[in-house]
Parts: sequence; structure tokens; C-alpha cells
Amino acid sequence: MSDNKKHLIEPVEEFEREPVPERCTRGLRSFLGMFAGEHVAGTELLIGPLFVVHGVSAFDLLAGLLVGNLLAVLTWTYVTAPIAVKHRLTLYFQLEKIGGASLVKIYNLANGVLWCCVAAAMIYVSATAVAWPLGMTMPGLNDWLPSGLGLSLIVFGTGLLFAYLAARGYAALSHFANIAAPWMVVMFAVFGIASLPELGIASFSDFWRVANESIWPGQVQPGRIKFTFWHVMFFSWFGNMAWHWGMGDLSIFRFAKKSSYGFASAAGMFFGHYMAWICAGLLYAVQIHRNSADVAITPASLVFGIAGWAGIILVFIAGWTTANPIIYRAGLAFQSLHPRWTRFHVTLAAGVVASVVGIFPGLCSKFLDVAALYGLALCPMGAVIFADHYFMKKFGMVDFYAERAGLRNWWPPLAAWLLALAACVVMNKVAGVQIFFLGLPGWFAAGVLYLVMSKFAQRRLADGGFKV
Amino acid sequence: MKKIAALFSWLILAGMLVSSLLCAGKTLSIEVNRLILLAGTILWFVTAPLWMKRSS
Repeated sequence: MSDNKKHLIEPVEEFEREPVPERCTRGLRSFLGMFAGEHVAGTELLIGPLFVVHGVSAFDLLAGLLVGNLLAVLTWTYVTAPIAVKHRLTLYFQLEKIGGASLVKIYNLANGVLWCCVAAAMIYVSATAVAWPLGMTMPGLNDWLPSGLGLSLIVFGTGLLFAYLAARGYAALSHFANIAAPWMVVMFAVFGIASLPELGIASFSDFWRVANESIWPGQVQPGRIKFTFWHVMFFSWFGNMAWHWGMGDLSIFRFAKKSSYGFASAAGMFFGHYMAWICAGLLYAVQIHRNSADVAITPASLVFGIAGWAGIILVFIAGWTTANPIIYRAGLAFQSLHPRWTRFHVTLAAGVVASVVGIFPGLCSKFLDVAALYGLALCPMGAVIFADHYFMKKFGMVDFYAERAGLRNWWPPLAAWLLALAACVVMNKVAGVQIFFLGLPGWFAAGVLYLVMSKFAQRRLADGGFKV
Repeated sequence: MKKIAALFSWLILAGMLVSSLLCAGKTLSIEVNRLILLAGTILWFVTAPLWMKRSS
């Protein structure tokens, strides 16, 4: 095997099963670039229009996004980053220390699969930048199946390319995200600015009137629920719940010199989730302004009318820079199932799964629900990590219990996760609580359940003379 | 050299914003703005790697 080829397939040292050494930590700029690149993304071109589809009003959108994104930044800074910097471990390895290798494998499998679903949406968005200019038929707003073989092949090929690049490691994707991030921010701003004349906006006073009448008129599309301020606020706070409350970004912030780097998430939240969602909504309003029957959300088609080929390039790259870290994280999750698998090969496999899922456009037309479900499903384990970090010693218990006791199976973390999810299902099905509002109750339920069950289980073992 | 490349890169992005503002003010047509955005995009990806250092 040539040296070149060896370099391509050998695992990259990413400290998957050891703390990141101090000399390998990164500066604030790396995180600003990472967050801006990851959250100014292709899926913003789905989310912005989907708010319109759900009939949100202008005030509810602008105010809900402001509050929700601020809460998200504070959660990253004061919940996720301090634990990441303290232990400098991946989410998966930290969970293994708390719950044991066998139990955590189940969680990691769910984690990796859900991340593959999110990456699939990113891949689909990028693929539209290839398929739409070729004149392929694109799916309608409520279509679940692909509109043709050509589009399916393009989605799959795009996914394979992204998977290969993600498998090359954090440094490579961070560098590309850093280069693309400032340009992407400017491009989203351009989408908004250049949309204004088409919508008949010539001054600030025009904006508020047109925003209420034409951009976010509050009309719900058939089959969708009506969104209010609370939907927007909780969605923008919990849209990335798996990464902050759920501790997914322990894997990223373990490279941070200080926990205050959590504020770098503001680059993603306010340039991405605030500005980009608004500008994407403006693009959708332009599309409907031109043809009121055209309610399909095809990112490439949305941007071309305003920004031409530069917009098409943006759609491809914005999907790419987001899919990369997500496939990377999914690779880490799957690798923890079998540590002897190389991260390179596992990440490639995760990318293939995401590519197959991405072929189905229904995932994108229901992306708000998918994002909420993914956050909800994963966040209870973040509560377990949080409780283990802050409360175990305080309540006379042992943290990192499975590691200290040498156990492969330690049931309280998994039981807390499953019971919290079961409680959320009951709240949804019996009490009718919508999925967008279940994240926080689920998180607190998991934390409390974990502490109570740990108290019971650790005492039982201690009574039997077991010491750690 | 790197400083000049960086300055040029930021000017490109500023130019893209200004051309879009001119488009919003109807001083520039949307077709011309699209061409400026494409040129700006290409120039950004040519110049930015010259000064954005790769993390070790």
C-alpha cells in the first residue's frame, strides 16, 4: 500500500478514549468558525420556510427567535461547556464511565442513528443544488417518496462525498468550515437584503407592514399545526437540544481552553438561527409572491431567483459544512460500540446510512418535527451526565460509578433515560403536549430519576459490603 | 502578502453586501447583482485559503 493511501485510511488521533491534553486545546476562533459554519447551514433554508408553512406571525417569529436563541447560548455556556472542559472527554466515553460499556451501547446506537437522520436532511439540501439546475423534478411540500431515480442517485452520491470528508477528521472539516463561514453569513444576509424589493419593501416602515401581510401572514398550510411565540421560542432553544442540554457538544468543547468559549455558540445562534431563518423566510415569501401555488420547499430553487449561481453554491456548501460534523459525531457514536473499529471506517458507514435516509424528501418537509424528536430522544442522557457531575457527591453518592465499580452494566442511567422518554410519550399521547414542549420536562425527569435510582442502587450495593 | 489577501477577501464580502443593498435600493438590477455575487464567491474561495491558517 502506498504511503499516500495509508494516510487516507489510517485513523486520525482524536482522543476518543482519553482526555484531550492541554496542548491540543483550541482557541476561541476555532469555535466561532465551527459554530458559524455548523449553524449557518443548509437546513436553515428548510426551517425558515417551514415556520411560514406553520402560520407563525411576524411578532411571534422575531421575538420567539430572539429569546429562544439567547437561552440556547446560555445553555451551551453554563450547562455543556463547564462539564466538557472539566473532563475533556467525548459524550460517549463519559457515558461509559457513568453507565458501563454495555448499557451505553444502546444509547450510542440510538444517538448515531438519529444523527444520521439529521445528516440526511443536510445531504438532501446539498443534493438539490445539483439536481435542481439539471432540471430534475423536485418533490412537493408533502411528498414522502423521492421524485425520481436521478434525484435519488444524486442524493446518495452527495452523501458518499460528505462521508469521506467527515471521515478524514475534525481538523480537515474545521478548516473548511472556517473558510466558508464568513461567506455563508454574508450570503444569507444577501438573500434577505436582495429579497426586499421583490416584496415591495423600500423602508423600515414598509418592512413591518409587509412582514405581517405577506411574509409571515399567519396562514397555516393544510396538515400543519399553528405555531405561536412559544413554539418558535422552544424550537429555537431546543432545536439543538441534543447538543447542549443533551451534552452532544462535550465532544466539541472538550477541545476548548475555557468554558466561556460556550459563548461562541452565539455566532451560530444569531447569525444562523436568527438571521438565516428570517432571511430564508423572506426567500420563501418571494417564491409565493411570484407564484402563490408554488409552496414546495426546494432550497436550490428558493435561492436561485435571488442570488443565482452563487446561491446554488451556497446551498451545496451550507449542507456540506453541517453534514460534516454531524456524520463525524455519528461516527464517534458508532465507534464506541466497538472501540477497535477505526473511526475512519465507522464514519464512512454512518455516512452511507445517512445517504440512504436522505433519499426520502419527507424527512425534510417534516424537519421541524424531526429536529424536535431528535433533541427529545437524546437529551435525557445529558441530564444523567449533569446530575452525575454536580449532584452525586453532594448527595453522598459515587460519580462515574460504573468505571469505579468495574461494572459493564449499571442500570440507573439507562432506566432514567427510558422512563423519562416513556413519560414524554404519555404527556404527548394522553395530555396532548406537543413534541416541541416536551424537551425540558423530559430532561428534568431523567435527572431526578437518575439520582433517585442511583441512591437506591448504590445503597443496596453498599449494604452488601461493596466498596468503590 | 497574507495581510493583503485577507484585506482583499473582506473587501470582497463587503462588496457583495453593498451590491445587494444597491439591488434593494433598485440602483442595481437583480441580474447584475447575481453576477457580482458569483464573482465574489469565486474570489472568496480563491483568496481566503491564502490567509486562513489550517489548524494543527
